[in-house]
Amino acid sequence: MELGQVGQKARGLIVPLLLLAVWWVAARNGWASASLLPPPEKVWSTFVKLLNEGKVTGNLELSLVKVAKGFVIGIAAGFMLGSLMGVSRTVEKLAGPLFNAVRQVPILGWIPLLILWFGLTELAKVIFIALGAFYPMTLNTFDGCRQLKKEYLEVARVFEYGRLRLLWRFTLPSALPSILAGIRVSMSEAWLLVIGAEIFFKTTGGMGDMMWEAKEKVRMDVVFITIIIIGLIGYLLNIALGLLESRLLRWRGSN
Amino acid sequence: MGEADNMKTIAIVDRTTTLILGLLVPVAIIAGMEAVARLELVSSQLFVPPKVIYETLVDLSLSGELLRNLAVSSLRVAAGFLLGGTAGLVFGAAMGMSRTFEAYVGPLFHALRQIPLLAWIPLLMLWIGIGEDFKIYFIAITAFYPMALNTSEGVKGVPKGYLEVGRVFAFSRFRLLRVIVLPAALPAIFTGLRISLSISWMAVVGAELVAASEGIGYLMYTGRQQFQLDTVMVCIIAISLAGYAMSLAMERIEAYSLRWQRPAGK
Amino acid sequence: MEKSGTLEILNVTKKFKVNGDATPVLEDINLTVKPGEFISIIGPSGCGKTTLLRLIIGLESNYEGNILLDGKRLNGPDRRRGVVFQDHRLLPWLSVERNIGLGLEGNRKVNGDRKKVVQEHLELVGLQGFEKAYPAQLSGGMAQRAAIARALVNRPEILLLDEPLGALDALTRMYMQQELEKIWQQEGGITMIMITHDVEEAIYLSDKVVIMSSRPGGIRKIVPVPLARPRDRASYDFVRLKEEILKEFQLHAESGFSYAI
Repeated sequence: MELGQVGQKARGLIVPLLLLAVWWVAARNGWASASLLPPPEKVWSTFVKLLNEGKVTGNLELSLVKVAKGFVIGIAAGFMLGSLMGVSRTVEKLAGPLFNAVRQVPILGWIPLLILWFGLTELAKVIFIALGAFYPMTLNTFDGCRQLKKEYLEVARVFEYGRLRLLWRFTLPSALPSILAGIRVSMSEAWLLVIGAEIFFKTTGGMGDMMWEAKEKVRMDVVFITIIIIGLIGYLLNIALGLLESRLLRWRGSN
Repeated sequence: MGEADNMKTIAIVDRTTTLILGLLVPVAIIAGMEAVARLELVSSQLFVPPKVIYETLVDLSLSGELLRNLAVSSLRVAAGFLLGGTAGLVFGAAMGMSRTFEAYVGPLFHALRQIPLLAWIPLLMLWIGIGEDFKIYFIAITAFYPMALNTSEGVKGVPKGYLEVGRVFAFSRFRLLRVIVLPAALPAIFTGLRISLSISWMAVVGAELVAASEGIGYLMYTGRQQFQLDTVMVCIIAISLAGYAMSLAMERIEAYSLRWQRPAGK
Repeated sequence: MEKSGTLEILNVTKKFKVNGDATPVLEDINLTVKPGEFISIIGPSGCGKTTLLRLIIGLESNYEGNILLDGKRLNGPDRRRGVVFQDHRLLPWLSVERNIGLGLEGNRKVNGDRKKVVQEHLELVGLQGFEKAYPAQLSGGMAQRAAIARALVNRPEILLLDEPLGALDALTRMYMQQELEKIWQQEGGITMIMITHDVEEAIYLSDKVVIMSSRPGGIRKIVPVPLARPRDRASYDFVRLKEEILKEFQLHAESGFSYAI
């Protein structure tokens, strides 16, 4: 049976709609306690209420500010280290082993250390987020700089380009796809970690904190709301960066 | 001194330089730390000299405390990784092999994927409490996604030419999967395994920081609470070593399974 | 091996849907291949020769007309037809002997003696000693030979070859042409249907050369090659036939060169 274009896309909606229906029926008939499964209507009404109280935008803003700070610091540091390592074998040999060793530590493992050093402050959280953004950025930048095709290198040598010119004119543009990919990954890491930061560095404000408090008060509806919003924002951030990426990489053609 | 000797000397010099340079920074850091401690430049709360870290490491190892907690965490990782990884493998293979399945399930899968993994913690805590189940299910969820994605991509990427070979010999669907699809997708599956494993490690630390009475994350948590910086550092070292060992083992398995990739002479 | 049957292609038309329009790739193809014949199919790009091959082997369906083997309509691939692709398509994760034995599973006539059959075919194509090697370790010519062995292992009645030597360098190709003829003669009675771009190769190996035209794909002319084997590429008859075929494509032969289209 041949479905039209719309029909094809609609298939993807069937399962979610079914789940939604099951959810509604389950809540109605009390198959699970309200603390585990609040009815969809309640989730919606709570959402509207919170929106009106400004709690949603307020917390969102707090989280986004943290992400922005950590993200910028992280990719700046990652770019510097990654490009240095990518361009100079000496730097790679100096910093590489240490970088790889430190990378083995799961980011969450740094939390207790950061708390001891910086306390439960904003700074600690920003550093935490920056750390998360730092690794993928370094790796991708490094990869990108390394990838410089031998042919381009030889052209540059024929023209007797200085080192700086080589970097600016050749290495960076050819590394751009990897760098942009690194930025995207760093962003999703940063967004993931801001939630973690707010949960683990027990603080006031932010989406993660909102969710944690909701859990403490067993407000499942608020938990649902925060999850959906967090997921949505993460998705939008990803799309935005993806668009930026395709615009900047237009010269690649249909690569 | 023939040319061969020259080449050998160059190679040895090169390798030694690499080794020295690689150790330069870590050694400098350790020496720096020792100096800072001796000169008492920073309060002892924020800082421990390497010697103390070493002593704590020995203490905790000898008392068995370190290994015990490490073992508990490793077991959790293993359980969650197996559970989530297998589910991801099956799910990913189904998505890759059947367009219909993907059409129905794909959008929901990708939508749920947008939820940052850590956000699952409060939700799961409300649903299943803070026992062992919680940790293992959480780890399983984190291991599920990379596995499913990579498997699905690997299966979809099987070159059509190979599939046609199977069709020409009238392979059954099962035989096609076993003899052609899975081996062709194996490199991608291994990538998924690697990513899933490291994410599982992150997940176990996270889960233990939040709700545990033992495990390496718990050890770190109490260490922090009691302002024992040395314990925290030892835990960090232990976690990285354990994670490194696991990924090394995975690499060995991968190299063996994919040994057919190497052309002659390499 | 049982005698191979007669392959009849009757009024076959195949259309492909491109952007909603149905473009005919093959139009009213009629061809009969007698058992044990070696025929080559030659034609310009887009004439549908690969599509025709895929229809015969069963990789494509949905066509008008009939393709019959011994009077019975063919439905999808089966053991009576084997195929050698241009890119050998050996499974890289299996050793040479496991690749060759790929088609043997479920072949009840052979089950006990699988190892023996694989070994026989290894020797047939001259790959003894390479049983445990992986495809990545073989040269192009060796890999193609393994692919030929794989296609023959089920003793098919018809072997289809889609530009089997196209990916090889000129010297290997000439060597492989001789090998191919040898294998055909040793397999006693097997029908060979080969697509090639190389006119000389076609004349060297086949009993008949089928020339196709394109847009839409159809059979333009069938040129019989009644020369005794092994054939001499420099003989007068050989060169004359080459000239005749090349004329169909408005090209001219010069002695000593072989033309690829």
